[in-house]
Amino acid sequence: MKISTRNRLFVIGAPLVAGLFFLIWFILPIGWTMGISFFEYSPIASDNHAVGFQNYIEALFEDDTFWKATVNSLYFAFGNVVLGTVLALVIANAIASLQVFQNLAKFVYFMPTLFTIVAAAVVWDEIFHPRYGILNNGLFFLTQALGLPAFPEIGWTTTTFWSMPTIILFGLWKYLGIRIIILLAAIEAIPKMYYEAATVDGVTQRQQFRYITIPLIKPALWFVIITGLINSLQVFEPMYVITEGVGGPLRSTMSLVMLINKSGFEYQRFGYAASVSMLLFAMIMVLTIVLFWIRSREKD
Amino acid sequence: MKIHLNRGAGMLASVLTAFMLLSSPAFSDEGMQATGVKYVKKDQVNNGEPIKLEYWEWSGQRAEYQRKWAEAYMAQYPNVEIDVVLQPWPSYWPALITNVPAGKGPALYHMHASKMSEFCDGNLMAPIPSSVADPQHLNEHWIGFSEGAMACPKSGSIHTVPMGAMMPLLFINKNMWDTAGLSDSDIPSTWTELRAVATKLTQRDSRGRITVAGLSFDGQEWIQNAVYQQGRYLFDATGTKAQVQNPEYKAALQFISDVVHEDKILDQEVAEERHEGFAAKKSAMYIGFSWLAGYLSANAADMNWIASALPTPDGSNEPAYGNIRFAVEAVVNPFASEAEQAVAWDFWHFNYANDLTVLEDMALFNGFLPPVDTLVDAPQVGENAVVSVLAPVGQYGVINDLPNVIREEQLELVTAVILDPSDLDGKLAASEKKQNVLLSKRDDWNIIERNYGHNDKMIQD
Repeated sequence: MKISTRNRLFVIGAPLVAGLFFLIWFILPIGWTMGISFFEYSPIASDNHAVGFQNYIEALFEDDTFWKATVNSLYFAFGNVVLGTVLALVIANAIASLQVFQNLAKFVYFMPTLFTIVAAAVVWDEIFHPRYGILNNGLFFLTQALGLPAFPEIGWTTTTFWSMPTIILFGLWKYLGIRIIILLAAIEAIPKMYYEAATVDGVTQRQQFRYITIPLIKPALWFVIITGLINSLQVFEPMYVITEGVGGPLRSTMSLVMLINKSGFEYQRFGYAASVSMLLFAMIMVLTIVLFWIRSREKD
Repeated sequence: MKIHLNRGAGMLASVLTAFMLLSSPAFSDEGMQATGVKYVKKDQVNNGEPIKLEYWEWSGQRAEYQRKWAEAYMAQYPNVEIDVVLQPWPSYWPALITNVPAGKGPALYHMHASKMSEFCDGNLMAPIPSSVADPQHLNEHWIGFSEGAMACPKSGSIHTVPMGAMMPLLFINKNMWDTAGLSDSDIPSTWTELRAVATKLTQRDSRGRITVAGLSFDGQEWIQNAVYQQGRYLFDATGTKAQVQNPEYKAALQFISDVVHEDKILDQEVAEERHEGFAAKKSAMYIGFSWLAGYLSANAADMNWIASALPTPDGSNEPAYGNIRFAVEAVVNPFASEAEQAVAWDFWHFNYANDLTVLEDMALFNGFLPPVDTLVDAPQVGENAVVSVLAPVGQYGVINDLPNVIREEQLELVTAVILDPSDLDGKLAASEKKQNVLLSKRDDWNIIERNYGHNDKMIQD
């Protein structure tokens, strides 16, 4: 078969354009970041000099903020991925079974995703402010009305114990909608005859969920878990807006990306920020490979 | 967010401003040589060719008078257009760092003292030419220059002038003060008296929660002032190591612990809101730098407040009263085109050579002591409720602006004590270690606290 010049050009050009795009926007920035991670580097400094692995040594062995930020990022990722996936699955399944108002339910759960994060943070502050927030005061008056011991004033955003769970809750509220939509699409793609046959055979709703729904939506489930993990480890906005850029109290909500931002743009230590970026990159890569490995074993 | 000066809408204001400026004493020979080089009106700038400059600022309050300056200048030179562009603080510095070296930044931008080291190192500020300011005159008559606060750490070059000197004060909500039955004679002069009146001013709701804190402050600023007041410097003589594990630092921290955990006149909710909490009437007294006067005028115009001198451990201003900080003025972008730089420097000269501009806009409006010695005795200083309090204690101020990294670490230390008062010694040790690691990352911190005029009264080590 003869291939026309036009088609040949397309066959060569399409991957070339994609490759060029990938080179400019992914490979070169990663290479540049890796390169400056071996320097004490700032774009405005006159004395940028090589420091070998010193930035990595500082992050791993000297800077306790790095480890705090790592633990915080993993804490957020764990809460966000585990709770987020379970909740999204349960809600998507419930919405799929709705006979009426299904679109309304989808809209309600997806709505927070549409809010700008700053506006969402303002609303969140109204809810979780320890002194004036709706949550603490509402629970106080509720316990009073029920004759129970008064609900204490909990520092949802001002104590090291509660600040991260509050941020996780914010992340769930903000980003749950997209997961629900993905899982809902997967659930709705399952042929109805499987459920009809199972019902005829006397299989309960719970068993149908466990033995039909979950196995058949596994690819989507894995997608939600893997992208959720990657996005969670790269979390920046929720902490930044809720703690006004501080990551407090006592750095209890400072994520690795916040540390990168602070080191680079506030302290002008772009070399150090680059080394933390590379460590984060490595961490995400290892965890993603582990997840893919688990998935491939499961397939086998 | 960008706010551009609307030339069309400001036409009338420009004409009136120009008229007032030209007819005022400020435009006389005596009023136009604050920098040591008299500003003389030129026939034209940039050969009369149209030119547009951007002037970046992050403070809306200052932008008000900067627009007035721009209008006055544009009235003199109609071929010049100056845009005062407001950039919010968080994006201001990244935007400058990326734009200025690329030659795309503003011709002029407002500088901040805490960023001087990095911007000096990156050569992002053009040095002041002798045609607009006489270095010897600045050294002899302006504050900050002879103390080394205005020079780049390595090169010694100078790039801007101070807006004035700010010092800490005790701001008091007068209505709350009167309601608590307190009089002028109760104004505290010692730490003990401060805690006593703060206790009387604290208000609680039926659940015992603080609705109005008796006292609030920026924890970092409190530490710095309180340590200086006890005669201790924050850094060792080399300026490369932090001094944290000492009785004076511990006493400063203990005060915070006492007001939060023992007196219960301040809690974390109000402490976090700092000056905004005072403006929102969530605290009855606030210890803050004198710039707060301008903030309150703009954001709490209905508040009846007074300012008094900062209480010290024993009521004396010796060995030191507290910290002096400089806010600094605009710098010229060395990467702007030659034509832009020339006009920018002329505009710079036009503003900072003007006694009235320096005195009223830069200094008094912002609650600062005037930066030029010839202006300190101006009648307006005595009439200013805030600056008149500072004038007598000015000589007991320790000049030093801390690196950002140290400020943040001190704030962490204060937060740790507010959350948990135990083991102060352990917290001090951990903080000192952390501060020293942070300090070791640069060798050009401009630590100049030991240039204090009463250094002989401080603890030497």
